[in-house]
Amino acid sequence: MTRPDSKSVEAVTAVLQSIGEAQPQPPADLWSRIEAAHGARSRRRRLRRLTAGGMFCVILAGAVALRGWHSATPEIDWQARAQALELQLLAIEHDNRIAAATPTAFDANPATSELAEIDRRLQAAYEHKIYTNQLVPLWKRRSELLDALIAARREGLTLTRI
Amino acid sequence: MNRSANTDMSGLAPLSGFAQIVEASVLARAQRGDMPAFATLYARFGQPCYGLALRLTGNAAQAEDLVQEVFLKLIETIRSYRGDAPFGAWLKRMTANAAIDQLRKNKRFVDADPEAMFAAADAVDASPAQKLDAAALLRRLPPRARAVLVLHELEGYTHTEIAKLFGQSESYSKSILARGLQRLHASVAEPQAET
Repeated sequence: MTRPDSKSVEAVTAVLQSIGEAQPQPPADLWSRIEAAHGARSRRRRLRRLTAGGMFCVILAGAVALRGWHSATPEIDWQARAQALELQLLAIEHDNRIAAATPTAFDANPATSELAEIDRRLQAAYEHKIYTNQLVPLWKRRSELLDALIAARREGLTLTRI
Repeated sequence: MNRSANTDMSGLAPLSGFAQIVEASVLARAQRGDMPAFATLYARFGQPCYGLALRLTGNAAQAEDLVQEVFLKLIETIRSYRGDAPFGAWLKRMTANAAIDQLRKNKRFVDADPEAMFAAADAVDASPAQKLDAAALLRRLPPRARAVLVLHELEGYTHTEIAKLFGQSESYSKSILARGLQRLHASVAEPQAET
């Protein structure tokens, strides 16, 4: 690297000094452009926030509506229904002077044996102190069987299959 | 002695550029998002900010973009200004950082090899008139070299600070500065030789 002579050192110093002292003015409209850019950026952000907020509200409203619809759907108490149907069946049997439709009486009929089996399983569950939702399908099936038996008794038929 | 806020220690010479002092009330208003307060800050610091941006980039359009970017960032981040350093120094650093970020973004200047950087700049020839013009002389330097030279020779940054800004070593900064100065010496010698 060659050493610069004193003239060029002076010249470079002068160049740097002139650059350092220069006070170039920005365009007169630069601040208004900055304000406009800031305004546009703020509007975009506000719009994004509004959109996000709107979407959140729609999702929230959907979730609330779905929950409301779910809770509006009545929960069927299959146990109570089965018990009510059993009473109804007994009344029909009594009116028609047919042997009572107790599980033991159903044993001879293939259709009623399922009812007896369900009763056995329910009894076993209660003996083992199982009082959970696991029993709901059994009560539901018992209600369906009793429904079918009631319908068959009314028509004077013997139910063999559901 | 009742010295004005924007005069030097003697109370005579007005403070200029980034050295100007900002009233606490203006800063407080700006920190609350008051746009007229930002207009006041721009009226005071727009010119030094533009001057530094122009020296660092060597291009008026890029300098305008840089000032816009810096003031938009200022509007968003002024709440984080705690007054640990003078406001002007804070803004100056923000401007230098923005300029260097712009240099880094430009893929053409990612190559940190000084040899390649100066060889590329050699391809650009300049007229004798341009060679005598101070700003044109700076423009003949590769962008990174110009930024290093401006920051070190005109803005008083140390090699340690420059190295940190560029994410490079101190020896890189020193090497770029030495080559930049050498280039300037050669450039000013050329017109003298031609006459």
